[in-house]
Amino acid sequence: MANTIAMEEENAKSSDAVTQVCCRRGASDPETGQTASIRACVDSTGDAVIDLGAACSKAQTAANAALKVLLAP
Amino acid sequence: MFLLLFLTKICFSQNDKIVVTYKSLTLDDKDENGCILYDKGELVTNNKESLYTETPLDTIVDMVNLGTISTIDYKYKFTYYKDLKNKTILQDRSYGMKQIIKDDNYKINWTITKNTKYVLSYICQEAVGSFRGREYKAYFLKDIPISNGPFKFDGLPGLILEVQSTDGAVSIVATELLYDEGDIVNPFINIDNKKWTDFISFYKKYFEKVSNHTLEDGLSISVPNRYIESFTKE
Repeated sequence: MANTIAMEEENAKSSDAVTQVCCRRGASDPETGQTASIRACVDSTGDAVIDLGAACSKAQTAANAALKVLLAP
Repeated sequence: MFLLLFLTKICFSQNDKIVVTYKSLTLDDKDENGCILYDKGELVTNNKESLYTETPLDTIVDMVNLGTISTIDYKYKFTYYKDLKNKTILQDRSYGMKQIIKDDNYKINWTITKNTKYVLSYICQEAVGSFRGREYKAYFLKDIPISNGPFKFDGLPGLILEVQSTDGAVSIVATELLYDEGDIVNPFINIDNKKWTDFISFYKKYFEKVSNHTLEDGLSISVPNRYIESFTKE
């Protein structure tokens, strides 16, 4: 009985939790060859293709920006 | 024919030098701290000193961790000047330090095996050794008794024509071998340099600072802790 209640509580937590889809993308500097990569996550919409595209796009944009900051004099 | 010409000429002149062109690929995508480098390496060497330059080659690579990276139109040129007698290297590839680095602690303890391999149609002897985080197989040409090779690889009784890391990440293969004449000039003479240990200290701080940096909106950033050589495991 106790186990059943515990399972029900766990299921309730799971249904409330937002699933995230994550992607890592890198960028490389043409002047030095140095690389940096960013891991980005987005909340799942239920459509894996859209979620992955959004996460990877977010990661790529951030990686390009991060590289510029990292290599700034 | 090349070897005969070289061995004949080297007996007559102190100005002889060998020019070896290599294709150098470092593709390490095992984790988020890996890297991609695809370079043309050119080694100009005699028995006393050498210059090794790295210039980028065009490629587009699709990796699991780093995604798609194109090196088309990359512009860098890095140089390593090696004093073979004093076992020191001066290099301007400084991975963000923007200083000339003096590396005098790069000796590899090679073990020569019985295996051989043809490189550029020359039969080369195999040696195995460990260097800064990776295990390597090197293939050297005993017929050219210059104890040198690409990048920081040297110390064998012949010119190294190929280097492969056993983890599959690093591959440096000779594509052309030429005989030439003329002096080799140290391009870093009278320029201040930093010790290798200073560079390692710099890079470790850079790596830790970036790795511990928290970005907004759940983003996390990674930079390499290794290229051909590891900078954080020494």
